[in-house]
Amino acid sequence: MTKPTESGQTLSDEQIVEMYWKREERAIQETDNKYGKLLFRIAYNILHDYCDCEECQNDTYLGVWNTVPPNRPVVFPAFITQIMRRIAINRYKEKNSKKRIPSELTVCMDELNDILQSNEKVEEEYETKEIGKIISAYVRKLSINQRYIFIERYYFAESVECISERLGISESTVYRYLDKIKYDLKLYLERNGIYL
Amino acid sequence: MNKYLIIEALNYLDDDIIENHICRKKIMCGDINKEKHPMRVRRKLVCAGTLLILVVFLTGMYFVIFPKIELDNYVGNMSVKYVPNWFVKSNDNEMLPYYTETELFERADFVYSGTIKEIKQIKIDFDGIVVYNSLITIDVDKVYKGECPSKITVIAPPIRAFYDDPDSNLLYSIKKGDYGIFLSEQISEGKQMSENGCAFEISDICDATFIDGSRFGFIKRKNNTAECCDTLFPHNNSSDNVFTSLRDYTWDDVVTYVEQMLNTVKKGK
Repeated sequence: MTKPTESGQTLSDEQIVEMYWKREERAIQETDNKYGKLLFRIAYNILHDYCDCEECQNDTYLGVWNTVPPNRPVVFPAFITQIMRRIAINRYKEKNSKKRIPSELTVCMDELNDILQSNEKVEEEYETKEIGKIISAYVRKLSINQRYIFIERYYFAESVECISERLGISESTVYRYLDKIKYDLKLYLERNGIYL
Repeated sequence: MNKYLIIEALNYLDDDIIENHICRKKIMCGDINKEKHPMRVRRKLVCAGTLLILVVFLTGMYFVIFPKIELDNYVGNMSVKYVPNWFVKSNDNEMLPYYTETELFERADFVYSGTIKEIKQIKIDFDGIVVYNSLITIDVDKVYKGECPSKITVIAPPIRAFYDDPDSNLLYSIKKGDYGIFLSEQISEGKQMSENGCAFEISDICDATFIDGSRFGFIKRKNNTAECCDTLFPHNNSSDNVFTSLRDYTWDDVVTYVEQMLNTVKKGK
C-alpha cells in the first residue's frame, strides 16, 4: 500500500503531519506515497470513475494542506480518509443527481435503505455527528470480523467479493453477516432514540 | 428519505476505529491488492490440482477405452479409431442394389447363428473426410453356410442407439446379448475402402460385412419369437413357404425357413 520515500524509508504519520505543520510541500508527496492507493480505492468505490478519483485525491491533499495547520490531526489516516470520503460523497451526490452511478456506494446505500423507513429529514432532529457517535459505540460492540465487514462495506464502500476474498469466507457468508449487522444496528439506533 | 444519512454519519466514526481498521487491513493483507488470503489460495490450488488430475485421468481413460486401431495396409493420411456412441453421426446413405430373398441367401458367404458380444463405434478419418461405422462382434454357435470363424467381426452402418428410431430399421434395435441368424459377405483380401485419396484394407479391421444394411438377418426375441426386416421374409406365394408375417411364427419356424432357403439355393446351383 505504501511506497518508500526517496531515501527508501516510509515516514511515520507524525513526521508527515509535522511536515504539513511546517508547510513543507513534500508532505503531499509523502501522503500520496503512503496513503495514495488507499485514498484512490475509497474514491473509486464511491465514484467508479478514474478521472473523478484523481480529482478527489488532489482535492483531499489540498484539503489537508489547508486544514493542517491550524488543526493537528491525532490519527492521521482516519483524518485523511474522512476528508477523502466527504469529498467523494459530495462529488457522488453532484453526479448522482444527473444520473445513477454504478459504484459500490450506490449498492451500499440501497442495502441501507432497509433500515431507513420514513421520508422525514431526520438530520434536523439528530445531528449526523451524533448518529456517527452512536454508530461508533455500536461498532465497538461488534466482533472482529463483523466490525471489519461493516467498516469495509459501509465506510470504504468495498465490494462484497473483495471482502469475502480478504477474509477467506464465501460471499453468502458476508451477506449473512451484513444482514445481521444491519438488523442489530437498526435496533441499537432505536434503543438510543433514533428512528430512521 | 435521506439516503445519505448513515453514509454521512459514518464520517464521524471514532478515529481510533478507522485507525485500527486500517492497521488490521495492513496486517491481514500486507499489500492488499497483491496478496490473497492463504486459505483461499490453498483452496483454489487444491481445486485446480484436482481438476487437472481429473482431466488427465479422463483423457487417459478415453484413450484406453477408445484406442486407435492399427492398420497394416493403408494409403494416405488416415486413421481409424474407436469412438463413444454419442460421438457417432449418420453417413450419407448410399443406395445399395436391391436383391430378392433368394439372391440374398445366394450371395451370402456366411450364414450363421450366434450371440452379439460387442458393438463398438469407429470413426474413419480419410484426411478430413470422416465416416462412421459400427463393428459388431458375434460369437458364432452354428454355421449354416460357408466357413465362418467361431468369432466374427462384422462392419455395419453406424448404430446410434440414442438417436435412431429402433423401429425404423432392425439394425438400430440390436444390442449386446441379442441372439440371431445373420447373413454376411466375407471381406476378401485386398478389398479396400477409399475416400479423399486415402484407402485401407477393410480386412484390417473386420472379417465380414452384412449382406444388406437392413435385411441382414433375424433376431430372436422373447418367448421364442423373431424379428427381421419384412422384405427378407418371403411373400413367396408359389412355394411351400408361408411366411407372410413373422408375428405369427416362432424362432423354430425361422430356423426352418433359413434351412429351406439354403437348400433351395443349393439345389439351384
